[in-house]
This record gives sequence, C-alpha cells and structure tokens, in this order.
Amino acid sequence: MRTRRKKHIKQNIVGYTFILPSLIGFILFMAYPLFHSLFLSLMNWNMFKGLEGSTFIGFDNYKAVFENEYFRAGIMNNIKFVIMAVPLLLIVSMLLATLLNRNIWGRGALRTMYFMPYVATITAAAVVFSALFHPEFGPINSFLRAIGVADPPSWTASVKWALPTVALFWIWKNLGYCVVIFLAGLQGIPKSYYEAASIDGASKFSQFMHITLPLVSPTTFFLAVTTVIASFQVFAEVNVMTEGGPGTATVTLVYHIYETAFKRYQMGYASAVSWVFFALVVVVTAIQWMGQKKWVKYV
Amino acid sequence: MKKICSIILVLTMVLGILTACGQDDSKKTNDGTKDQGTASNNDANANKKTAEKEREKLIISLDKMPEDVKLARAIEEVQEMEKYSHVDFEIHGKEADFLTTMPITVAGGEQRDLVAVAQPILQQQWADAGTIQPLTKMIESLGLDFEKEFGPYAANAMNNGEYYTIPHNITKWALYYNKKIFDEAGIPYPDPKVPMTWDDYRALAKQLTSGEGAEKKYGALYLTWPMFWYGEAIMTLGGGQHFYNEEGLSNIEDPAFAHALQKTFDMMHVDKSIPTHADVVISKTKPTAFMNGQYGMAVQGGWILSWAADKENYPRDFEIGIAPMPVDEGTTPKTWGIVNGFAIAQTSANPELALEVGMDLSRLSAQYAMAAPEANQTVEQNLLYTGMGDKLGAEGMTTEVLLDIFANPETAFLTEKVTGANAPTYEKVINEEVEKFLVEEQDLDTTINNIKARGDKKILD
Repeated sequence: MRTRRKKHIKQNIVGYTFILPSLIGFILFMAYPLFHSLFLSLMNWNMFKGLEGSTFIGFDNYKAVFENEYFRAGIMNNIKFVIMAVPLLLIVSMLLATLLNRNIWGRGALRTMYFMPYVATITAAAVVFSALFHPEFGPINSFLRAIGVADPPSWTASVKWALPTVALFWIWKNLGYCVVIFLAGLQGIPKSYYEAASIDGASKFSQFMHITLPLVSPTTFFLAVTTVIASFQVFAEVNVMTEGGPGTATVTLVYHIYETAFKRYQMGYASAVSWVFFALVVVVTAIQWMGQKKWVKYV
Repeated sequence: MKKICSIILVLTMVLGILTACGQDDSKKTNDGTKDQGTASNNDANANKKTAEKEREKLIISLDKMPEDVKLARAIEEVQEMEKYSHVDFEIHGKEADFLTTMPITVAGGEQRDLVAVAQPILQQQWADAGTIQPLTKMIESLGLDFEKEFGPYAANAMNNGEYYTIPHNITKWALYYNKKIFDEAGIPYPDPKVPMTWDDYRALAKQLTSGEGAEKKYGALYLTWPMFWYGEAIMTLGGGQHFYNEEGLSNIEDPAFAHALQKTFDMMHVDKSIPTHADVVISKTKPTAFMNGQYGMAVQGGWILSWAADKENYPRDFEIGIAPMPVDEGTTPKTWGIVNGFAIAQTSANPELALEVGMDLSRLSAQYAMAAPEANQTVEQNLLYTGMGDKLGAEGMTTEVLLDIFANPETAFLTEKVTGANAPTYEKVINEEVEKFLVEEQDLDTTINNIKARGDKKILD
C-alpha cells in the first residue's frame, strides 16, 4: 500500500515538473498581474513612486468609473460595436464558408485571399482601409458619387460613421479566421445527410436551413462567444484609425483603459475599469452560455 | 529503466530552467557586451568590473532632438569633455512612441537620466505624475542661477513653483511661403518686415487656392495641432494662459476663441483654401507636407529652415520665402512658441551629474545655434542663423532676414499651449469638441458651451 502511494507521489512529482515551465509562466505573466491589478484598483497608485507614493482608497476608483464620461462613452461604443460587428461577421463568414466549401473554381486562392487580412499587420491593413474610405479621394466615395450619392459619408472623420467604419475594418480583418473555423465545422457534416435530403426533394435553401445551420451551430456558438469577447477588446483598430475620435465617437473600454493607464498614469483607476470590463465580459459570456441550450445542437 | 529515464528527464528540465534563467547575467559584462566566456579571462574580467564600478553611466533619452544640428554637435562635444571622462554616455535618439514608452520605462525602474521634454503640457503632466524630478534644491546646491542663465525663459522651466527642466531651445513660429505658387497667381510676396493681419492671411490663402482633386493647390497648410485654429485668439488675448479666466475656470466663452474657430472653419468649408480637418486626420498630414509644393503658405516653427536647407531629403522645384507671423492687429510683430527642456527622470542614477551635463548641453547648443534663438542668455550666440543664412541666402532667407524674423527684440513672444490647472485634460476636452465642429457634426455655440461645461468640470477635478 505504502509502496503504491510512494510511486503515486513520485509520478505526480514528475508530472508537475513537466508542467512547471508553463506554471511559472502562468503565475508570473497571468495570475500575478491579475491579482496585482485587483490590488491596484483599490489604490491611488503612483506608478513612479510605488507603494510609498500611493494610498489605499478602497472602492473610490470603482465609484469614479461609473462617473467618468469616457467610461460611459466607451461602454456605449462597445455595445454598439458588438451589435454592429458580431452578427454581420458571423453571417458573412458562414455564407462565404458555405460557398468555399463547394467545389468551385479558384477555391484555394479565394480561401487564401480571405485569410490574408487576418495575418496582415494591423497598421498596414488600417492604412489600406483608410485609403479605401478616404472621404475625398477614396475609391468607395468615388463609386458612391458615381452612382449618384451627392454627399457620401466622411467615414472615420464623421461622428456617426466612425464607429461603423472601424467595425467594418474589424469584420474585414477577422473574416478569414471565421471562414476557416466555419469551413472546419462544415466539413464535419456527413455528406449522406445532404444526399438523403436531395432524394427527399429538399431544396438547397431548405438543406442549408435544416441541415447546415443546426449541425454547424456548435461552431457558430464557439465563434459567437470568442468574437463577442474579441469585439469587446477592440483596441488596435481604434488606436490606429481614429484614436478615439472624432470627439469620443470611437472611444472603447480598452482604449479608455490604455489612455488612462499609459497616457494619464492613473493606474489604479485603469485597473478598476479593467475589472469592471472583465465582469461585463463574464456576464455577457454567461448569458451566451445559458442561451446556447436553446439553439446549439450537438450531434 | 523507467525510473532512470524519469530522473534524467526531470533533471534535464530543471537544469534547462535554471540555465535559461541564469544565462544572461552570467554572459553579460557591465558595459552590456557579451563575454567570450573563457575561463582564463575570468580574473581579467573581475578586475575590469572593479574598475568599471568607479565609472558612471549616464543615459540620455532625447527622442527626436538629436536631429537638431546644434544639439547633435553639443552632444559630441560633451562626450569629449575631460570632466566627463569617467562617464559612459548612452544616448537614445528617436524612440518609437517616446511619449508613452519613456514614462513606462521610468515607472519600470529602468535608469534614465536626462530626458527630452518637448512641450509644456507634457512637462506639467510629467511633473505632476513624478516622472521627472524637481530641480530647485539641486540648482541651489550647485550654485546655479536659472534666472540669470535663462532670462525670462526660466519661468517656462517651472511647474507647481519648482524648476523641473533645463531650458535649451525655444521654437518661434514664422510664415513661410511657396514663391512658385505666388508667381503663378501673380501675387506679390509678403512683406519680410511688416506682418500681415490674420484677415489678410485668410484672403491671401483664398487667392492662392487653385485646381481640383490631386492637382489642387491649397492657399495654406493646416495641421491638426490646435494652435492652427486658436492661434489668432491667443495672439489677441496674450498667450495660452488666457484659456483660463480670472477665476481659474475655462475662458472659452471669450469671443476671440469663437471668432478664431469660425474663421478656420470658413477656410476649410467655405473658401476651401486649406484642407479639411477630416482630410488632414485621415491622410495623417505631417508638417513636412509644405515641402511637397501643394501649399501656398505655412505657419510653423524654425524647423522648416532645416528642411528647406536639406534638398536631398526634401527635393523641391520651388523657392521658399519667409515673413513674420500674421498678427491680430497693428504692425508690431508677434509670434508664439514653446521652450524645450531637459528634465531629470525619477530613476536617474546621479541627478547632480545629469543636471551638470544638461546645463553644458544647453550652453553648447546655444553656442552652435543656427536655426532658432536660444534660451541660454549667457552664451555668445556667434553662429546664430549664419549657417542657415549661408545655405538659404540665395532664396532671400539671408542671416539678416532670419535675425529680423526670429531675433527681433520688438517681437512679442506668446506661449502657444494651454497653460494652467489640469491643462492636459482641459486641452483634451477642447480638442474633442473642436474636432466635432470642424467635421461639421456640431455647431459653434454647442462647441463653445460643451467646452465650457466639460472644461470647468475637468479644471475643478
């Protein structure tokens, strides 16, 4: 009995030793910063003077979060962004994946083309996108003028259009990734289902609605959860394209955290916003998780 | 066998981790170079390290400042000085996103000694945050007299009643013009001695504007820098401190601000003599855009002279002329600008040495000044503008003309930035609201009212 226990302990030690590098990495770069930020969120933290120059202020930072106009603008912009970007991204990528799943000419090249923006650096991609949507010289507005739109939008320079333009950019950038995931999901559906449906006289649309959509729903759910989280975290696109403007039209929560932490040096307040942001994402994800029972079909 | 294999694997893993963690320290010498690692060199290295401990390392972060010819020359000379023979200088030039990365580096505890502070709002922000050190006590202990040394510009080195920077350069603005565009429009060049008014400037910009699309020549260059719209207002009122009223709250209600803002808007959207704000933001138009020949006029600092003299990097098929800045009224020259400075970071290893080096850099760069008048009052400015005058004299920008524009004692000098309580946040509010007006998303009254309401709140915070 004792020998077996000893052996068990030894085996455990070996196992833990193998996971040690990852564990150290996790503790140093994930767990510690996470809890340190929780500590910072309760402090009026002076990042240049450390603990000596800082004071404990309890939940004052959390109170300040909800009174801050940039936080309010950020949360509203984030919600609008998720509503605009995620459904459109999922619908377009699913349709594209369905198309690319067929034996069409140039399928490989098309898959590569859709995936290219995803692997391109965000700055380069933003420059290309900004050039396309330039209010005066961009091809999009030239086209709109050519078809009779007298006063096309100023896109990123417009309070109304800046956020939708950033959302469009984000969709374009992430489309390739979602298409690849959907393709994997689609290829997991047995062809026999479609063959049986065809024999029964089901149309292509009917097959899509009654076979493809339900059977790809686990993939859709996975992408819905991850893209909602990713869209809440949108930062680089905003930073490169609009810097939060015009006015506060494109300020998002992560951009607000970045500005307050690294431009205004309010590390305690920024940590509080981060935790509120974390709570918000957890709630949204939990709602999605609970809602999946109604529409996700696991075969 | 399994046991032996497990032990070997575990040992390998542990050794691997330990080796990886310890590798850098063991292989690096004090000067950051890699040790060759031979056992026979160990004693020699130990002696070398002992000797190096007596030496001092000074890290200077200057961002774009080394592009300034006179400062580059000063840096070279300081490194050759006998009194600094024990100092190893580490000069950091242009750094990516300097304004963000430098404070983070300091917050991370990394040694930084002298750092460039290129504008007063940043200076206030860094002084408030503790990124840079107050210098008053050190200045006194070293027997320095900033008022004697830097004259009226010493005041620009102060925040919250303490000296925080060593002034080393003043930027002063002038009006530059593209002679080719003036010739094509058949319009005489601006007077090099008597300033025009802002109304004259706007009328002239309209006259100089021609063409459409990619062929368009704008009468003047506009950048997103806020002084491009509020410049006339601060000239009328007397400087950036007038963004605040007598009670210390926002003074944006003064009609001078609304007037200046409306006039800028009209140039963009009515006269179309300057690019729209949207165009400038999206195109990320840089100050160097004036060198591409698409703009009739540009108001900017003395740095344009350096680009004008550098025909290799800024080739052009037009000549550049210079005139005094437009003024709100009368004929007395006025200009605005800022005083650059060197500050000492919170993580300086030897603040007194940093202060001494900073003073020498300031004095020497004053001595070698060619493009801008100097903050340092005690140094003979024998080379002032002669270099630029030699290079640009053929275009009419002789040393005399440049001295008349930049070093005329009659010229009123105004601070161009918002200078007062909570200036960084108040300025952010101003920029956000003005941007909405300039892109036609908000009317003028709403803009002014919003700045007043939000600005007062931020100032009181």
